[in-house]
Amino acid sequence: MVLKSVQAIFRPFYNSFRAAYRERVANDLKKYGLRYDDLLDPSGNMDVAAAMSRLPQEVLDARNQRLKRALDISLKHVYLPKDIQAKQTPLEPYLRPMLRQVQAEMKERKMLGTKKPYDRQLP
Amino acid sequence: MPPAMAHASSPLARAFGSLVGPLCAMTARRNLAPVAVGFASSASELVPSIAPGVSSQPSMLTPMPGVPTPPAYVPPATTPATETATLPNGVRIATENTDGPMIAAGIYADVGSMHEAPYQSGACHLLEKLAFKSTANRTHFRFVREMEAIGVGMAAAASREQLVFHADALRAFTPEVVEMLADAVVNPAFLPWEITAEVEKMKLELDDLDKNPHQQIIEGAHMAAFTGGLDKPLVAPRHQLDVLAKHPEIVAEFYQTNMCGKRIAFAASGASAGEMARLLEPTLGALPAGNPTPADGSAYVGGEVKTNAVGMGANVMLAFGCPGWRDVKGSVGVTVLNVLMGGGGSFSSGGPGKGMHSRLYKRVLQKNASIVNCSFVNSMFNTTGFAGILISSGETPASHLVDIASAELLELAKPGALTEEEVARAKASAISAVLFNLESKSIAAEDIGRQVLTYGAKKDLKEYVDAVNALTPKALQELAASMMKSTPTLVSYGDVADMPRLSMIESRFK
Repeated sequence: MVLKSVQAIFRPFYNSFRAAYRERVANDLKKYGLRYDDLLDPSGNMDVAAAMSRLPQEVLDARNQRLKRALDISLKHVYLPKDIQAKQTPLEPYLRPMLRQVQAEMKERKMLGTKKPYDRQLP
Repeated sequence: MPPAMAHASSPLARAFGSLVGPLCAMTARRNLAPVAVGFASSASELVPSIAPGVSSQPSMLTPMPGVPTPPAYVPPATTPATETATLPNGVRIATENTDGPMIAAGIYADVGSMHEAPYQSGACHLLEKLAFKSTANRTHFRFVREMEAIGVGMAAAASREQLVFHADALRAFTPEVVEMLADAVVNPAFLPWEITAEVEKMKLELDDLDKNPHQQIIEGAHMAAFTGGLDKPLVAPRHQLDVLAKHPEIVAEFYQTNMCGKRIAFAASGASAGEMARLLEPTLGALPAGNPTPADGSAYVGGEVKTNAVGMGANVMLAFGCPGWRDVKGSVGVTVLNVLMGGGGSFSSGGPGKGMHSRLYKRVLQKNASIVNCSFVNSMFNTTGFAGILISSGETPASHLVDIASAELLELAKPGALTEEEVARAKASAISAVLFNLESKSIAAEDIGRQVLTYGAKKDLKEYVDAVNALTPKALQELAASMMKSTPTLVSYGDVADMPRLSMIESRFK
C-alpha cells in the first residue's frame, strides 16, 4: 500500500481531473445503459456474490435486464437511443454499500482469526 | 498405568516393581506414615499390608496430614431477600443476591403469541430464533465470539404470554453479560437476510413437528380450549413463513410496538438490584415507557379438534378448564393434582422421584400393556388454563382411550376416592420438586422474573409451601369436581376414525 503521505502529494494532481474522469466513465456507461455496479462480477469475487444474495429480488432483476440490454446493443454494434441515454444514472450505487458491509464483516472475522464462511480454497 | 494404583498382588506390579519403584516411593511418601525412600526391591514393600488382602490406602474420612483445608463455607443465616428497583421508564428490576460464583440473569417481557395480530402470526416463534442476532452495535458473529470469550450460556424462549432472554455466567463477568443481554433486547437490527435464513430453519422445524403427535395435540388443544388470545398459534403456521421472510418489517413492527418499558422486567439471581439498575439505565432505561400490558381477554371455552394422520397410532387428550396462576390457591391445587395423577411413558425405566406411585401409573399404565403414554398434562396461564389427561397407544382404538381417560377423571371427582397417604405423598413430592429446582440459579432467576410479570412482585416461598400443606383430599376432590363443570376439551391425533363426539363425552360429566 502507498503511504498516506505519498498519496497526499499526488492528491491535487488526481483531483484536477477527477471530475472529468467520472464524467467520461458515466458517458461510456450511459451509451450501453449500464451502471457502475453492474460491472462488479460475482463469479470473480465471492464477497460480491454474498452482497448480491442480500439484495432484494427486484434490484437483481433490474441488474440482469440492464446487462441483457447492454449485451444486445453491443452485439448489434449500436448505442442506446439518445432519449433513453438521457434517463440513465450510471453512477448510482445499489451494490457497493452492501459490498462494503460484507467486506467489513469479513474483516471482523479475519481480525478474530476466523476464515470467511465461503471461499474457493480446497480443504 | 499410574504407579499409585499398583497393587501388591498385581503380577504387573511385581514384574515392573523395580521400574515403578522410585515413582511409587514418591507417592508412598505422601500417603503412608512409614517413609519408603529409594528403590523397592519388590512390589510388596510398596504397600505394607495391615491384614492379608486388605489395602491400606488411607481412609477418605480422615484428612490428609500436612494438607491445608480451606475454611468451610458458612451459608447465610437467612435466605437473601428479593431486592427491587424500578427504572424511570417502568422497567422493573428484581434480584436475589444469593451466594456463589455464578449469576443467572434474564429479561422477561409480557409479550407473547397472544398479543399477535393475525398478520403477525408466528412473529414470536421467529423472535425466539432471532434472539442474539445482529444488533445496531454488534454483528451476530461478534455476539458469538464474546459469549465464547466470557463463557456465558444464553438462550431465548417464547411462550404464549411471555418472552424471555436469559444468560448464565460467572459473576466476574456481570457487567459484560448484562450489557450483552440489554443490547440484544433493545437494539435488534432484524436484518432481512438473517430473517430469511431463520425462516428456512423454521421450515425444517415444522417438518419435524408434523411427526410429533404430542406437539400436534398441545397446539390443537390451545386452539380449541381458549378464545381471546391464548388460542392463537405459538408455532408459526406454514403459510406465514414466507410472509414473514418477505416482509421483515412485520416482526420488527411487532417487536417495537410491544417491547416497551412497562411490560419488561429484569430478574437476576446472584446480583444486587442497585447495581443492576445502574448497569441497565443506559440501555433498558432508554426504552420508551409505552403502554402497560393490554387487558387479557382470554377465557376457557372448551372444544374439540380431530386430526387424522396415518400411522401415528391413537393419541387423545381430554382436559377441562382450570384456574390460572393468579388464583394462587387454585393453581397450587392443580400442581399437586398433577403430581398426584402423574403418569408418563410406559417405557420409563423409573428411579427415585420418577412418579411410579402416581395414580395414572398404578391404575392405567400398569394395567394396560398396550398404552404407550398416559400422563396428566396442564397448561396454565395468568388468568386461566386447562388440565387433563393425555393418553396414547399404538394398538388400542381411540374411543377406548377416551373411555380410560374419562374414567380416571370421573374417579378423581368422586368423594372419598383419594386416600390421605397418596395426597400426602403428592404434597411432599410437589414441595420437594420446587425446592430442589430452586437450588439452581437459572431456575431461581426465571421464577423471580415470571412472578414479577404475573403478580407484580415475587411471593415468599413460604406462601407456596403453606398453600400446598393446606390441601386436603377433600379440597383436591372439590377442585377436580369444579374443573369438570366446564366444557371438556377433546383433542385427538392419528387414527381417530372411531373417536366419539364431544357432546357424547360431555354428557358423561354432567
